Amino acid sequence: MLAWLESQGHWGFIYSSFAISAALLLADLLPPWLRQRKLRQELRARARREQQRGES
Amino acid sequence: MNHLRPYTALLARDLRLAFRRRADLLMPLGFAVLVVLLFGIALGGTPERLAPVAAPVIWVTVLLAGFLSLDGLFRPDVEDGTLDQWLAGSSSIVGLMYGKALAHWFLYGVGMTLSTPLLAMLLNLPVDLLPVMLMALGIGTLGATQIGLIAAALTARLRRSGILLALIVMPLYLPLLIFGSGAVDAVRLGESPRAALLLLAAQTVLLLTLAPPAAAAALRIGSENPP
Amino acid sequence: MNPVFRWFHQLGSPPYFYRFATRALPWFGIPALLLAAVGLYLGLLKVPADYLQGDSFRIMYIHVPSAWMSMFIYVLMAVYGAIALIWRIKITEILFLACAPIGAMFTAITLITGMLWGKPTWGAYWVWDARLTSELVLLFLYFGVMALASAYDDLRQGARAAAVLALVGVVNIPIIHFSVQWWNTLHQGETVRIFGKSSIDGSMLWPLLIMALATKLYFIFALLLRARGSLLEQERGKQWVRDMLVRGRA
Repeated sequence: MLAWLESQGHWGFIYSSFAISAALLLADLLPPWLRQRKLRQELRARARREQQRGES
Repeated sequence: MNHLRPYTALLARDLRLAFRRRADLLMPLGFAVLVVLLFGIALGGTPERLAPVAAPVIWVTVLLAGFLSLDGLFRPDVEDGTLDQWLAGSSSIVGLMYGKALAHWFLYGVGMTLSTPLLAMLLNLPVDLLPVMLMALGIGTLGATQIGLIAAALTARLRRSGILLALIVMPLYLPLLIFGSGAVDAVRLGESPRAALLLLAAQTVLLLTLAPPAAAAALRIGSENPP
Repeated sequence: MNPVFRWFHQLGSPPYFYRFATRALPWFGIPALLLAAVGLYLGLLKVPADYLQGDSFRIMYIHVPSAWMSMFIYVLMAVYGAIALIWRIKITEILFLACAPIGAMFTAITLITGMLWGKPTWGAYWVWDARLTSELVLLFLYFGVMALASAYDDLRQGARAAAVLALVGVVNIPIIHFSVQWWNTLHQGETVRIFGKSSIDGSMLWPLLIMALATKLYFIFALLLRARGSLLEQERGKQWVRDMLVRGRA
């Protein structure tokens, strides 16, 4: 795989730099975002249930 | 000198405990010799291959041996409640840290440094490098003990984790290693090791000033109960 | 009271911080994205290539801003840590912990882009030059903070312990940099400064500054995002969370 990369010339390294950086960024950004979203949905559902129970 | 009594008592106690289990005293030396054995065999045992790497190998071995002893620095005191007593007592925690560090250094710093001639012989260290090696190791281990003190204090109440300790300690060991082995290299190239040794000493002095308070703070934090 | 002071004070309150973070996120995220797009477009495509051999120097537009951020974030993290230790403000503990993974990410990007730059330019993926070696050490300093904090069962206690470590680290970073530099010149000679800039042409500088700003904005975006999430997790049982979610304003 490395041999292929090296045969691509300078632009191969540039594109892979960009790609790996983007991948690392997403790997850092997405998990907390998704975790939060799930937690918010869960808490919202629970809060709404409690409210309905309180009203009924 | 009465006000120093608690600290000297701690120092004396730690040293007494260490000497009580004679076998444990020899463990760092035993470990060092084992590591050197591995290197000797891996490198083929010939002087031509051993001599160039002798000094670096000794450095890494000494640092690793000191590192391995860190887990036992505070754990026994945590387990038998001594640590809680110190924190509740009136003695200065920082002073106790100095006592702990000194005890550790006697065993793993001075002790390892004194074992160096044996290791040097096994690794065919050029004889003219030995004096600077001893000096650098003596100063460097004093600094390394301080680093270990902080790391041990930070992890005192946690589950035993070698990798966590290593992660904390190794980056901080680096400057000591760089200046220490740099001093030996200087002599090897026929130059004066003074600059490197002074930098090493400066680093150690900085650690001696900053590490015990940091370790004391770490112990206090570790002992706070969750709300 | 000074309005800025008052605002900082208010940020210490979890619901206020949560609302602020939610509102502020797009204001940092979208400009960051746009600036990065502009910066990368200029740097990767527009800047002339005849300056240095080949195009590989373009990686600098990712590598250098990331390196700057990796160091800046550690210092900021240490500042948050100090505030958390002295004043024990919960939000600062959360912000402190949130800095670490982001800083580690930038450090990793710096290392990998450095390696991918080094290969076409100098022939080797890894060279023990001062900057790459220092960055590698920095990565482990970040990992140490993250590992220590998560080793404690109590989040707040872990944050405080890690803050002590971060402060020890921040004092040592200049020492480590200096010692690695010293070591490097001893062993590699003064001439090989792998990523040294000889003279920067104006047109080359702009994309770099744009990327620097973009990474800063992204950092604030990511920091607020992580802090908001941690805050939500830690405060999940509280009334203000329930109110906010039910009213649909989260």
